[in-house]
Amino acid sequence: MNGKKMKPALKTGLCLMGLIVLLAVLGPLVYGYDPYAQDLTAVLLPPSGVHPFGTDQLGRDILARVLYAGRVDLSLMVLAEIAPFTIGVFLGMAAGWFGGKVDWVITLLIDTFIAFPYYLLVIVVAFVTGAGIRGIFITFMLVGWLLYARVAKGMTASLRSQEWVDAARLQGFSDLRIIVREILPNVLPQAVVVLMTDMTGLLVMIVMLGYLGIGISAPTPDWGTMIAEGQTMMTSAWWISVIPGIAVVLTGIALSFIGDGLADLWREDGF
Amino acid sequence: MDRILEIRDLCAFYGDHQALFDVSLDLERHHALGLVGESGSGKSTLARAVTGLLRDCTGEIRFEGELQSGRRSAQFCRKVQMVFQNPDASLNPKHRIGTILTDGMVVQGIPRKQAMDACRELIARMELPADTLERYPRSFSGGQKQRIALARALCTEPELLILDEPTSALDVSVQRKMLELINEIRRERDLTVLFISHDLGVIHAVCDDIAVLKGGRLQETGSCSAFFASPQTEYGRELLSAVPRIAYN
Repeated sequence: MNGKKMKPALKTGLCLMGLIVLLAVLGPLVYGYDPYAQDLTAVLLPPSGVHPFGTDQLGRDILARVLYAGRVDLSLMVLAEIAPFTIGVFLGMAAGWFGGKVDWVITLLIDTFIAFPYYLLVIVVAFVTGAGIRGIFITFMLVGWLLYARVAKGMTASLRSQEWVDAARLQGFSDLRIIVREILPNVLPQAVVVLMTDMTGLLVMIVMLGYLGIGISAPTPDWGTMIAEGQTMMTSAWWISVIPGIAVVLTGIALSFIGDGLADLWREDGF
Repeated sequence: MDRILEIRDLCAFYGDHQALFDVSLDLERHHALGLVGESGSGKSTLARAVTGLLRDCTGEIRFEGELQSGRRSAQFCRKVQMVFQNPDASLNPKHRIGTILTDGMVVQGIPRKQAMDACRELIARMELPADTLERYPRSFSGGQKQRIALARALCTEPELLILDEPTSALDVSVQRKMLELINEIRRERDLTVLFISHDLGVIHAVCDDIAVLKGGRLQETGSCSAFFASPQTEYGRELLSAVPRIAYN
């Protein structure tokens, strides 16, 4: 930003995330193995030159599956955040800006959802809507917006008494224009920092649901289901669970670094 | 006499708290009226009530003879502009100065390019750096920010300029330059000015008329020269005696 030097945390985070995304996008194209291809003559092989990360109990190549699962999980992670992010930020800004009844209704909604234990709610909704990608979307639509709404509401409520908002009113701007053109650019950086942290949470949730068998279902590779599949063979064939586990951890670390780095950067910019 | 602003029996409220009590005040066109009083006396509240930023009020506010209530018209917004007290809070930190200055004009229907050209002239007049329009608020000093805020207020070529303690956050040398600039601009553009300050010296430097507020009630009004020669009320005398003579001589 403005030619200033990026912090090491942000740089590391961006590089790592870039690498993960690149591997997930290009990996399956470049790497020769089919993630679905079973080979019962080559089950539970340890990592070797032929299968760099070994094979699972059906003889499927772990590297191919981890790469392909990355595609599935990462794209789901991004897509499932779009609606909650947008809805949360706008509801939060509306609550903070209008106050009164609007705030009362939105805050009531937030408090109601927050009162439930988060993961319990996730599991119940995922169970009701059925396993699979659709369930994850609906679940996260219901619970994901809360965090953004709270952040956006707090920011907006504190910004609305700023003199530059008064100045905007005196210029004859409409409420909508002030919210979108004046307030939103100030709320967005905060919301994006939250988004980075929350994406890690969502990834863990997707993985957890997969692990519990109510997320992405077999045979579609997903880091969570892969970890679950290898669990019983942890002592004899550790690579089945550990490799996707490492992928989850690395992605989480990358997102956290990006979130922290952005927060630092924007704080120095005066936020 | 041509009165640009007439205020009758104005009461203003913040929830249960009443900040103004039956204030009646007139502002002559092309005059500069200094509104003086200690902090909490209702000076800023009066400005907020006039501009419609504070709606919780009773009484009458007439601008150019027209009764004002609720949301102000686009016409009113063009003709009445305000500069705020805190230079650090009066510019949106996420916008370039060019955007901050031209948005108001664009809303009034002026093409962006034409607005930019007008702003460039204004920036030069305010003695701000030539690259001001491309920069963000954080790279300016308090005095510069306040001159940018003044430029924004002047963009729409207003008739009435309300200045709410425009110099009180600035240090003394910057303050003097700002006051000189305000005086020059006022004469160049034949503006009517409502100047709010707790500082009689500053009022003396800019204003023709004066109105004294205390605890939300108007104490006295009159011409500056008469007030500084002999205040009519006890509170006026008290205020004046508290100012070192050198400040306004």
